[in-house]
Amino acid sequence: MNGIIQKRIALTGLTLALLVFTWPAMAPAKRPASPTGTFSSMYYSEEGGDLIGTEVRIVYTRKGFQGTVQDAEGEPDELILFTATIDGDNNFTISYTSPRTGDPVTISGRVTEAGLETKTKWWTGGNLLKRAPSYWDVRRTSPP
Amino acid sequence: MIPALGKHIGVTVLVAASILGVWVSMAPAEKRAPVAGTYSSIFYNGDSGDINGTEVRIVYTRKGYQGTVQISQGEPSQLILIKPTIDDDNHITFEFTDPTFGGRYSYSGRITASGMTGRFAGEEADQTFKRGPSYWDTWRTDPP
Repeated sequence: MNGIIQKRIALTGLTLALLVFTWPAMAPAKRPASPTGTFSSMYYSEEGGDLIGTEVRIVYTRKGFQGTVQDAEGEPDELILFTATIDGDNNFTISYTSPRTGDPVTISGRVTEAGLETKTKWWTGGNLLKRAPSYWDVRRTSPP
Repeated sequence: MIPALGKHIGVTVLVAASILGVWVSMAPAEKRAPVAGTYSSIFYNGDSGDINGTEVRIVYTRKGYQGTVQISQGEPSQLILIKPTIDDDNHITFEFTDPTFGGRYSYSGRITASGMTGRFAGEEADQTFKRGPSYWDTWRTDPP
């Protein structure tokens, strides 16, 4: 009798363990964040009368992901067009030529709900360029 | 008596006209709508799976206004850089060549607080691209 109860307990334990281990795999995969959008740190400093920050915009096109980047260090630079490589895990690489120095620039990282997360710091500081409305749509006077 | 009355009426009319003239010149001028912004008619048609519409984005740069255009007839085109001409009354004109199909486009319209109204050469009627966030920020399923 005791043997049967022990067997049943062991079987129940095994079933529970299987459920615990397979549950995460059965749960729906978390949908990755949208790779398109506007990512901006740009704002107008009323104190200095300067426009400061970076704004990256990523859109989808028939030829894949494309976008624009604009830096502002006092005055806003010209728009730069780029082609972005973004994989299924939202890992991205952006390459373009700096209009000021003529040097090639490559930025890589991951697109998340929060923004563009990179290993190297954006020139405005920090490793995250936040997902935010375009400065040109809202005209912020403080960092987003 | 009658010539005196006529003179009196004449002076009264002159004074009234002067007051009206001064009144009109003193009235506050209509505030100019911001030129920079996002103007879009793009939306996703869930029935057909098509993305349709046009999105124009205007930003300010150290070299004047610049922007991008994206036209979507089923699938969104590549981003196209534009250098629009904008006068003091917010009339806007720009031209570009479609990078995929090579067609030449010429647009003329006017920017107001609510959007950009005008037409591409060859179109029969004006249409309005509403001022607001980019389609790529919101993924609309209805026209904006």
